[in-house]
Amino acid sequence: VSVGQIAVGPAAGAVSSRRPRRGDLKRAQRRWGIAFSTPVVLYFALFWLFPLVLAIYYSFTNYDLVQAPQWVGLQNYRNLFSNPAFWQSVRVSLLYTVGTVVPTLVIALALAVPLAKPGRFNGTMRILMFIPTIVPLVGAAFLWQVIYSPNGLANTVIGWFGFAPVSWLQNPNVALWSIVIMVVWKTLGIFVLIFLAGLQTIPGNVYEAARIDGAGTARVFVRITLPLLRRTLLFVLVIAIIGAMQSFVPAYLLTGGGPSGATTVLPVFLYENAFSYTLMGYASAISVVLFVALGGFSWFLFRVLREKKED
Amino acid sequence: MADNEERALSRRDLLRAGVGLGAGVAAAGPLASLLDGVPAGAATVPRSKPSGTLNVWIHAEPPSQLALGQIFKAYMKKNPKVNIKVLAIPYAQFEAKVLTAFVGGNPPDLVKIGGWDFASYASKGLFAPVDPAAMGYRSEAAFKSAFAPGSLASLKWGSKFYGTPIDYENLILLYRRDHFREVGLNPDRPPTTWPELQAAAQKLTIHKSNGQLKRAGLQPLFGVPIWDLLQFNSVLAGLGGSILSNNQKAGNLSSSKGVAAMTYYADLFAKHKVGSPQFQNLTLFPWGQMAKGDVSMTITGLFAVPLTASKTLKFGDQLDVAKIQQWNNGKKEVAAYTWGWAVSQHSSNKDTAFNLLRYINERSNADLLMGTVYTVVPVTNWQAWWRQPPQSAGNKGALITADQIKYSAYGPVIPQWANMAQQLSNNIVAACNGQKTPAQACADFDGAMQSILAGP
Repeated sequence: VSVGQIAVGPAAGAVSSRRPRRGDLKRAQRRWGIAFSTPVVLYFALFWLFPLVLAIYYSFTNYDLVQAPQWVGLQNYRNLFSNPAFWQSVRVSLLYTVGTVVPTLVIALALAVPLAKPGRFNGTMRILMFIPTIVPLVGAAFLWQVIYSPNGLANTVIGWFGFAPVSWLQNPNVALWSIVIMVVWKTLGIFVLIFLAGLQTIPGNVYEAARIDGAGTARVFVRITLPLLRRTLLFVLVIAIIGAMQSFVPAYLLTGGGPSGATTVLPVFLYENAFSYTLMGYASAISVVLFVALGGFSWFLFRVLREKKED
Repeated sequence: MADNEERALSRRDLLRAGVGLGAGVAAAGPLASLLDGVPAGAATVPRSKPSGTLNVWIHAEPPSQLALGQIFKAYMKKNPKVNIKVLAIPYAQFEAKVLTAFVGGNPPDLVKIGGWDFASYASKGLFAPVDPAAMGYRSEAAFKSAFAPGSLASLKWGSKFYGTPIDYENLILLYRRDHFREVGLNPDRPPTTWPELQAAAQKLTIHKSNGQLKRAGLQPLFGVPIWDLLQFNSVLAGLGGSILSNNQKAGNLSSSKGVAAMTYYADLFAKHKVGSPQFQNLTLFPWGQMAKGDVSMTITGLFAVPLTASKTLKFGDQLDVAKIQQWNNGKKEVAAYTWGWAVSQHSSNKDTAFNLLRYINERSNADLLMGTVYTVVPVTNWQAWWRQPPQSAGNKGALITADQIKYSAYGPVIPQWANMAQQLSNNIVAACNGQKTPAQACADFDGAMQSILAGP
């Protein structure tokens, strides 16, 4: 039953003597199309487009949430690009992104490949691996604060190997990596799950053919699994990088951006400027820069994906 | 020595004392206000009869909430047409919630907020200037005279006052007498100058064989902007330096005094290794570490005395307080801060809010807060209560705080305070960690202040 037929249904008795014309159907379809898409368009316009346009506008103003925004042109951007704290935050964000995305993807893939095969404990292993993912992020952050405390689990474990205790969250050379470890632990499960889904789409007969041809495990992984998992990998890469660049809670809760700005990732830098210093114009400029950078990066990756598909 | 006779005051002791005091206050309140509660020049009749609902926001701290609750209850009994609704917000969310409520146009009538935030709110027109008439004072001079000299400075913006002080603190040295004895220092002669503090801290510090700290001779609270500012400003102000230039338009740490202060402060930790930002325990804080025996001295405020003493240490035997150190022949300055009560500019019940403020600042209520939860409400001659027995034997810290109040140095009072303090904190911690030289930290701070103070 098409949408058009349903649309004319209530009036069917009145016009039963004539067949619905092609034009009527099209008009009805258009009406229902508009009716169905309007909520989505409204939602998109209200909660995405409007804030985006507003943020872009605010980025050219001096706005403290109280007084009316004052147009300052490109001054916020000039201040931003000449602010060493911004570049420090960019550096921290890039380190954080590489530090979380690379190990997460490598470990998730390494775990997903054996877990995709039938095995007695694989189901249990998948569940165990997924537990950190369902732990609320705030709860996880507090859990890791305890783990990283001076007499916590982290120092106990390294003590077994003869290492001296570490100030995990207060040493500026270590704090970022402490957060990275927590984030990898937290997000691993969801990426294992996505890889498992991707691996299950690869037909079994491809592996059988490879084995008949005498390919070893490593060769099968490099020549079959990886190429056939390419789309999943790219998808995971894009969402992992965007997620990492937008990550706020772990750094905010574990270190508050400290010590001395060593863990001030861009979203924390943005938050401080917006809600601690009420520099909404400046904070909007940061968000626009972040948006453009992530938008450009996503476009580039999807372009790569499309080109490979066409190949 | 009288110092040795001081007894440990646990929070339970204080609360118990508070119950008694509360009863005493109920009976003696009117008399007390006749004797010393009404400052010179104050009118006794408010401009209008208090009525209506007042929304009051404070940060959550159960003992303080209890004491303030008693005061609000008594006020509502006295003014049956007033209904006070208190919202206690967890400290971690407090500043963000208050800010969003004020800028969102839905603020409380009365809020207790850090004095360092007053300039930011007042400059945006979010706080109402103090209305002496609504508080029952004849003039602004009468209002000023109701408070200890030096206690209102951070609550002023432009030429107007925007609130009344509560939770006033200036810095004191909290130290372990038993550690002093252990290393051959006289616990009755704590360091009085900054060089003496360094020497004592070095003696008290114990390192493990691998070079890590086992016991910090001196461990301030690092990484919390207000505390980094207060501690550093004590050293700097005593040298006659300032964080910002006189016109408050530029950073001033690259001056010779600024670099000297940063060098002294950073060297304590980066060079002499008497403590470290990395030695800080985020759950215990320095006073908890001190109670545990991991720290011998910390620079802190009066509030930390019961927090430390209530654990395992006996005040006067293992624990003691001293005045904050000075430079030889230096300027007598003591870093201080206060919280304050402010009335929202958008409150529809300002007169009643100011009337309540006047009531909170009555001597009997100031004594109640001081006696129960160590909260200093620096009304004129507020320390008198502590000079009376039996409480006169109870707290040396309160009297030191009182003696130092006239030397209060609050640091810059500017709308960009939060941003400035964060930059200062980052650079102080970096210098104390040895990541930056003191001169570099000063230069970086001044550089950051250029754009912060210039604005877009």
